[in-house]
Amino acid sequence: MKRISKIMLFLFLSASTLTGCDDLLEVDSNRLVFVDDYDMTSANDTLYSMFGIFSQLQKLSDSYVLLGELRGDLMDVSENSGLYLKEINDFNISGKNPYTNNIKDYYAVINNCNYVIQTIDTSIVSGGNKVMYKEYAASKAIRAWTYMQIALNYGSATYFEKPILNVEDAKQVYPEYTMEELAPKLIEDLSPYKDIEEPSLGGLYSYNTSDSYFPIRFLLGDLYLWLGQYENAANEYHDLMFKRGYGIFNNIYENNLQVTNGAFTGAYVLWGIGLNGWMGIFDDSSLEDITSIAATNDYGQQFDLDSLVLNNMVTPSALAINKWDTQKYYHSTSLDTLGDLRKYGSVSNSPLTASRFITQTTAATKKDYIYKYILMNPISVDKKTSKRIMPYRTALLYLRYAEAVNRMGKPNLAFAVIKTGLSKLSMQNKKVIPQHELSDPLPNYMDFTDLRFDTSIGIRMRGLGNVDKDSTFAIPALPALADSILYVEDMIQNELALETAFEGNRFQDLMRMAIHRDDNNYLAEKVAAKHKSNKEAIKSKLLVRANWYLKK
Amino acid sequence: MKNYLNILNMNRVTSSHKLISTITLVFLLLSTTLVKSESKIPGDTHEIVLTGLVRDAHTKKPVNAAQITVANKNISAVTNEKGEFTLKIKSSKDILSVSAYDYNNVEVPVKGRVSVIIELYSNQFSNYYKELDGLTGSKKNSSIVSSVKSVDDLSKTGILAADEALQSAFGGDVRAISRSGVAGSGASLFIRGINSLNANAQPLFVVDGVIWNNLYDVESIHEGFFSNPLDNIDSNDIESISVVKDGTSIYGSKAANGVILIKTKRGSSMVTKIGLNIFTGITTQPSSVPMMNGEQYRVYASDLLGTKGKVGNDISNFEFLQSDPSNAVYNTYHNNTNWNDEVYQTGTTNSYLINANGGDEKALYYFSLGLANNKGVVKTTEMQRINSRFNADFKLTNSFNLGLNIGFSRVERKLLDDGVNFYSSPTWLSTIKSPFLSPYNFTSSGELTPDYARTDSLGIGNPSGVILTSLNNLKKYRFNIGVLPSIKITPALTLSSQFDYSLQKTIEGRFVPMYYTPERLIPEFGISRNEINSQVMRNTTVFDDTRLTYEKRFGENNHLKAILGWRYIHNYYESDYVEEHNSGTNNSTTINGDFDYLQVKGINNLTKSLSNYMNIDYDFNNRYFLSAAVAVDGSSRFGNETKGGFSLFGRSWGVFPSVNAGWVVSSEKFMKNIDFINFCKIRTGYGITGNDGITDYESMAYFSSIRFMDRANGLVISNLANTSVQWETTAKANVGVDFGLFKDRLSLSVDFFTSNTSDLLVMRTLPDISGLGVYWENAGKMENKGFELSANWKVLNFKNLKWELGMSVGHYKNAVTELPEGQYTTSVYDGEVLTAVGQSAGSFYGYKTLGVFATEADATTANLKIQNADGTFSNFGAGDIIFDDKNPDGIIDEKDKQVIGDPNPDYYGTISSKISYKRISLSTLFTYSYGNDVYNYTRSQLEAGTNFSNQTSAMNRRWTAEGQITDQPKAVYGDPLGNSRFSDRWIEDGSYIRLKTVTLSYDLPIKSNFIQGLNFWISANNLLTFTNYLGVDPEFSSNNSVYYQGVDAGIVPQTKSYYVGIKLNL
Repeated sequence: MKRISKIMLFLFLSASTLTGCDDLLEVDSNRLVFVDDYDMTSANDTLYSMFGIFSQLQKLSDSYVLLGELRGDLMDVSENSGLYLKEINDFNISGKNPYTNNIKDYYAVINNCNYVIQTIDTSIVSGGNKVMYKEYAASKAIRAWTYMQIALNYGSATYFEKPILNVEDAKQVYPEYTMEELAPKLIEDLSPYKDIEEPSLGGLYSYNTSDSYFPIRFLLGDLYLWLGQYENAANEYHDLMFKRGYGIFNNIYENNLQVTNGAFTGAYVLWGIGLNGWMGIFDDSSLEDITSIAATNDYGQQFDLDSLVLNNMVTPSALAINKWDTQKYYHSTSLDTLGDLRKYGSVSNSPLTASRFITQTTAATKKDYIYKYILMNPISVDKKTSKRIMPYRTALLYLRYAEAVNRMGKPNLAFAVIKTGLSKLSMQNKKVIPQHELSDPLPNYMDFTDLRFDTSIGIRMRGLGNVDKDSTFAIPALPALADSILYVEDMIQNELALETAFEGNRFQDLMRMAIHRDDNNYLAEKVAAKHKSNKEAIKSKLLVRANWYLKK
Repeated sequence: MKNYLNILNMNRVTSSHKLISTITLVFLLLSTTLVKSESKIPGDTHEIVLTGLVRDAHTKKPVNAAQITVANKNISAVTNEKGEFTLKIKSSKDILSVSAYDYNNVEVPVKGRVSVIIELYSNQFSNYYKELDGLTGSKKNSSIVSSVKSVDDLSKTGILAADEALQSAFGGDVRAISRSGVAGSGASLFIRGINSLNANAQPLFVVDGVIWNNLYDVESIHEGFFSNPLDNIDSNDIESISVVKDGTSIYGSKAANGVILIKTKRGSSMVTKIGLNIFTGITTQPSSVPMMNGEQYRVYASDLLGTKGKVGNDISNFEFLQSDPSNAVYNTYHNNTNWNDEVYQTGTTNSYLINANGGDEKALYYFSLGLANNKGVVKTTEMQRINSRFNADFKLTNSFNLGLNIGFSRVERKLLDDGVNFYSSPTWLSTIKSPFLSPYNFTSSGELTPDYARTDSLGIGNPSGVILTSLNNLKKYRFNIGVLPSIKITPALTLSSQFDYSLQKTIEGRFVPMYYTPERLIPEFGISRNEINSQVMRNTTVFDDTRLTYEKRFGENNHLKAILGWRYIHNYYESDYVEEHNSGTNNSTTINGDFDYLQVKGINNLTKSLSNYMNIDYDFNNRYFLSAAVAVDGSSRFGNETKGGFSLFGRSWGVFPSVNAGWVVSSEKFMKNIDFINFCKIRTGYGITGNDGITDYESMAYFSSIRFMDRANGLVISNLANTSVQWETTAKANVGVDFGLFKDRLSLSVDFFTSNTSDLLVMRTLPDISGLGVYWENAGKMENKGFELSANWKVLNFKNLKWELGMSVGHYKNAVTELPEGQYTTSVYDGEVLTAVGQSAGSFYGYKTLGVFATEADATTANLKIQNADGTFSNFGAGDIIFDDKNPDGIIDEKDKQVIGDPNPDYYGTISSKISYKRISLSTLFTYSYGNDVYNYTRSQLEAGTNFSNQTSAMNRRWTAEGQITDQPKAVYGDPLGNSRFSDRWIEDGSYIRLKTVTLSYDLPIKSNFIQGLNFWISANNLLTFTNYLGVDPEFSSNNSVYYQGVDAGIVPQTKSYYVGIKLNL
């Protein structure tokens, strides 16, 4: 028995060695940051997280634009497009499609946001400010936008607010929400933070990181708009315009045809890249930029839009070109012509070479290509600097506002956004806004008394001359208010095409309007119009709402 | 027992684990009680008087002064001049050990006899009864119960790294595949099949008791090169190498792939001995596969141009068609260059090692200093090694000993990129470069200049220029110091420890020149004219193995050795890599941070592992052997909620038990009359081991740094905590028999084994919501079944002439048996490897072909097509390959892929012969592999017919005209229909038999006080190879990964080499 006890002693010894081994097996790394070691207690910590989130966000940029436009009516494929772009164009998408099988990239943004939101210490105060509150709110906004994209593209989104940090959590089942279910959640989540300022992390090359945030009021406006809570939407949009001074102002981004002796002389005034030409909107010093997603081809990231354009793999649709060409440019009652000047900032056919595929050129073909992307991603600039897309800008804000107030039964107010601009004067001019759309006092969302809005002009005036003076450009007399609303919504839809073509919002806009009209045909007809041989097939496919969404 | 299990909370342990653990523990406790009771039984008191005769097996002449001892009992005798002895033994079951000068020792069981005749064989024969180095120290072969093979003399070979000897030494016991013809590059090793897919599948290296990090997956920046850790050891410093194939549970979670024990020499006697080993040799330059000559190539290239379509401004492509000698470019395109000779040379190898050992009662030491250099068969490549080793044993007091091991080595290499690389590998460029071009430049008027020509108009670099201006080097240092104190607490109980610190540092620099290499477009960066890379790798290991050893004999027949130990490894691996492009000149050859496209990356991995182990060896009367081991392992790599093992102190621990048993049947009385079997041992064992070769930090959630807009750093979640990730578990069962037949004339050893790996690490897709792609899960299963056979026959045994034949066969059948996410493929050098249930690991997965369409009509009838990237379809036409449309839809796509080959051999091993005549001996060794398929990647490039690379002469029969019946498709630029895709066209039978070495050795009859021995030897390697394989060499291993087996990536082949050596003992 003595030996047995000896052996038991050995066992005991070995067990006691184990006791100390928790430390013995503890490891760290110089290269990785472990979750336990990453508590955000200083602004520096959140800086890395914000840049981390931006780096994930840029993976969504190609998909955002291509899904928004190629499925719409303004962008088309060509014989160069390749299988995957054609699949999107034809609503016949295979599982291998790189632009649609990347749903995990959306959740990567969400999960990184979740981590910041959960971890950030919002109580830290420096100089009287809750310094890290801004990052907290900004992360919530980015998360909300990303959730919206999932729900809008895929029909529903898996909703979770805690960061997924281990495999077990990743395998849990979380609730799945459609846009209608998701929007109230997001509204509730965002509302308390709508007055928090955005963080200021400075510039990177010519790219200003202040452009990387999604204003909470814009998001709230969009969410209310989807839900049909139009007054809330109008208020949020209005307050954003008001608080940030976002306006469609005279002599900013305006293009005119030069007139000499009562005739167009063909020369453009205020033309060229700069703050004054409409093309300046897409310049990196744009005043109209509300939110850009920065992208790069560096460090294993991929951003293809400019290359797709230059290789003629996505093209403006004939329908889009025709839309610009058939608008009436109004100088005066005696002088008008056809053609929207915004076309020239949107499409071009002057020769350019591709940046990523150096050997290829479309120069010889002289085909129309989407110039907006080249303006946003200039070839001449060192490629390490920013490329980007611009999901939110001032004109979109105004057109969304118009959509909301129109649906509230104020088509003339909405029409003013397009034709005359929103200012104290417009509000007082009964010809612009008839009495029945006014009240006393004016509701918050109609308050444009501030001096800053005195120079407001209609969105359309920036490309089509003095449309504010064109009496033929008006809402026709229609039997019922409801008819006028639908008429104006159609005009807004048309204006969205002329103004924000190729920017990524087209399909979502058509979806929303069709849903509000409860008329699938509205979307189906518009999109099918772009197609040639398979027009009917596309139309009948899109008459089924389930086909508007991608398969997960 | 139950209580014990409960203490450890072993409810997560699998039932087989439990069973073996229980057996182990029961055995552990029983053996002690058994020992107790056994020792109480009064011994067999009556003595037996045994008389015997010891004689030479051939001459039957008596052997004088042979020593006879009874194993483990203090009884011995010495023969007289008539060879006779008398011994008083106490048991008729005793075993006699007989040894004599110049003879191999033998063991003879008495088996109840009263007189025995013992025949001895010359020590020129191999010896079964030698001592082997096993997992718990050295042991007589006859009493080893696990499957162990050992080799102890690596002199008289021209090898520079220990693993290069394994194939010759172990044959069927280890599947050792030499990596390449680069000196010291070693071999990929697989013991008993393939026991892992995604983790390490290479065996554990234990050098002088210390576990080495084998760095199996560390990639060199030099393409085609593998920095082999074992080239730090001079083969002449090696005392023995043992391969332990089962019963390895003492190494727990590290032993699933078997263990290779390397023991370096130590001082053994107080007599000072000095040894000198010198050898020198040459390596011949490799041959090439038959390629097109200049004129054939010219026709081929113009064919290709015709299919290139729009040439645009590439008009210079046509220059080579210039047939007017008066034209200035004519001379450039009318040469006859043997590019092989431009690149290859005869290699040389020299190795010197001097060692001394000796000492006194207080201390014994071994010291060696070695120097080796090698000039490679590729011009300018070379290797230099300096190594030194100091092993000492100090006897400080009667009970306290201290060992000291110090080793240092420095290996410097000059290298060139190797293998299929259209950019910077001179060997590959020499293969594909058109013979009608010259290495030298011609002036615009057609005059030859002494300057090297730049990349030619067909886009192929100049190998001569690349060799001249490349600057690729590798410097490797390894230093280790080990301290081994040992205290005898009681005569039976020893506490010993082995502490070792090692540092290995590798510095690599690579400069790829401009002008002589083609310009390349680096996606997302731009044009690269040349490239500079640098990599620094550091691996430091702190190792400690402390054990209590209890060894005692109870009574006369019981012997017990128990070990309880703790092993701890702290391994830190760091590597930093920098890449830049466009240095602007071929004189700026080092990284400076200012060139284009700077890229940096690196790894810092800290791994800690702890093992608590126990081993008990028990034998009864040298007839019955039982050995049990159990290890309880923890590692920083394991999650803390693993499915296997148990949890304690917030961590998961794996339990790895094994039991092995042996029975020397021949010592039993009932074998008395079976004369032809003089020795027979049956071994069996079952054990569980693990594989901890999983990625570091896998079990932890972490962020990693990411660049945002080139300037800012961001942190993103890049790994989710995987708390259940754990070791792979391999259960091995083994049954083996060792025979000595016909008075030891024939020895035979057969082992049958099965091993089942569960918890196989497989890649699984994470749910989308994680935002990440994949994670590792222990969910797959794989099995290996096979046998190993070795035989040794003393064919002739005359006084002067002796001949011994040996052979070994290894066989395994590997199959994946469970995959949670179904089959998947891995892309390997443009090919694809399938992992699927029921298939062997590494199976080639591609298209089957049925020849070439001779006519357009045939093609139209077949109506096969492919879908292009833009969604349109293209039809196969005349001259295109007929792919097997397995999924008969008329479209050749991935649904038509099928298994087209298996790189695993059916049989592999060696055949050896040793003939001795007086002092001369001639050893011959054949190695073979049968039934393995090879993916000839080089040929897939050289018979693709898609670009301006020179092609093999087989492409002369390519399809060129309607109606032509041939096996080679037409040449079409860019291969729009994918005729050269991965298909059975590139899969070949890789079976071979090779005359690996022939060694002639002569012992000079010098016996003086000064010179103890002098031996001359000459040796030739790879003299003959019989194979149907179309490549240069059927034996290669481009990568240690299981998926890369059998892929011929065109790395410098092994060639014939010749060595002369001298071995002097003073």
